[in-house]
Amino acid sequence: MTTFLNGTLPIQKIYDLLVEDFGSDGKAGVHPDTTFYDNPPTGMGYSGALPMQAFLNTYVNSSNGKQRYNLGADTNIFVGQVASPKCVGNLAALIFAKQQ
Amino acid sequence: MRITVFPCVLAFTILANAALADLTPQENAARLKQIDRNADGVLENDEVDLGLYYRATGGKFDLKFPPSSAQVAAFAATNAVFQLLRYEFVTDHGTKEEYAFSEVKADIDFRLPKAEKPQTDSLPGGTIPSSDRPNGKFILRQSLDKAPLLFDTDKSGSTMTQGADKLAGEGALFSYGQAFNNGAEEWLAQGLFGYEADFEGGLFGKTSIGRWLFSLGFSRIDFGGSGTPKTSSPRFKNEDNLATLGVTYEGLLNWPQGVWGFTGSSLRVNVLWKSDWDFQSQIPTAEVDWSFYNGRWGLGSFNTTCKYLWYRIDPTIHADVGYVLEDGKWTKSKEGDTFAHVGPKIGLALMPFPNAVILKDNPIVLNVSFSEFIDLTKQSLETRAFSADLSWYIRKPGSGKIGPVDPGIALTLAFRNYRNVENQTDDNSLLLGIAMGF
Repeated sequence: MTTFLNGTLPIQKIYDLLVEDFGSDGKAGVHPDTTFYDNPPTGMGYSGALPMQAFLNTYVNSSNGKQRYNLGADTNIFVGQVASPKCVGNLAALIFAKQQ
Repeated sequence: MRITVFPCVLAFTILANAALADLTPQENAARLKQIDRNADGVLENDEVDLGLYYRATGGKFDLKFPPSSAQVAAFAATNAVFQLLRYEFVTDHGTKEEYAFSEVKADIDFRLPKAEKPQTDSLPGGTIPSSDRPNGKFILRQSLDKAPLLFDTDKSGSTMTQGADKLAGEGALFSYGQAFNNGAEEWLAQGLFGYEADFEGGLFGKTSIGRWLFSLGFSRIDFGGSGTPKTSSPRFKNEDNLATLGVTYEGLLNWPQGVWGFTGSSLRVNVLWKSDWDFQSQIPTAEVDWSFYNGRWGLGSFNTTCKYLWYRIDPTIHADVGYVLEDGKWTKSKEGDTFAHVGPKIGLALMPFPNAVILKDNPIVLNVSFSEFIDLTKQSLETRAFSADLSWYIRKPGSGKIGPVDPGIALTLAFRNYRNVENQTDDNSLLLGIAMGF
């Protein structure tokens, strides 16, 4: 509740938004420990950093995405900044940390 | 016709649904007992946390020697993946004092293995590791395809640390061989030395990523001694050598984006100067690969929305052009030739019945790749490649003994249809086999 009042999204909300967006990108059964590059079911089977960044640019770094994820206009999320192991939970943590 | 087809469809549906069944209650309970610290047949919250800890750390500890509740709590306080797994668990099962075994699924909620196969790795740390920031580094590998993956674990580099035999497979190779029966000698130097610099931003906008790769590829074989097999194959001359200087630029384009589910595309440009160690041949070449990404269609990442088939397609448009300034003696092209090709390179990965019990831990992955480059000039030489690879553990070693042995059995399929006149490779083969070992 406090976080909502402060104007920042809780990490759980960010995770829910990511699951929704990965769903729009054809991924079912996404969990916090689902990795980017491993084949499913462990990962989502992105063939490399480029298609993964393409997902981020479409759903997170776009103007719509920045509004949804409460990111500043100059804030961009890069796949190289996600902590290892590169998974959905650590992506949520990065977005959470970079909120405006 | 209807009489034949209907029973087949019915049998297939019944078999598919039977194969998609969950763990039996007994198997589920056997797995959950591994995290039931006080063996009371239900999971209290600290035991749920132990299961989530096991999952968040990728199962990297021995369940026979679990960490203490304090260690788990310390990890939970700082690890985002654990916190989100806890959140997901509560969303699915509600907040309770304890959970009956029948309420939770050992394989889905905690990724617990079979009870008789504990993991043996050491206990991991509880902090989030730092990210891989863009930087540059020198590499020495066997070929361009062994270069590190962009912004991911350097799998080829990791493989080289796993054993001397693995290093020989991934690293550059310098060797000397002699056949004692006929005195034939062979000197070999083969590899790629490069400098890779990855970046964020770049030519294609602020949110693009990519890399520069400067490389020198080399391959030289010298044959000597009295028993040189010069006549046994046209491949065997006194020497065979190749040197390629290359600059690669690879970057993400934010186009097409947001249309029909497309998220973007990437361009890879190779500028190569193909020659040999004596610089007798000079063949400047440029190559462009343009790949498209659309997860909804399975382009560039797996589509996992269908429970019967998961798939990924990697579509690339390839174009190359080159001019033979000097032909030397290692190429079939002639001086003054201009060659140019354009065509598709398509990769396809299929995972059938991914939720079936027998395939859940051991999925079948069929990889197919196809490329056909159309000649654009009279001097261009044909290039075609089709390959299909499948391997599947019918039985993993370590699954338990059958009589006195514990065999591993794998099914393999490899199909090759290559035709690359320029590089003098031609292969047309099918290999279907069963590998077994214990």
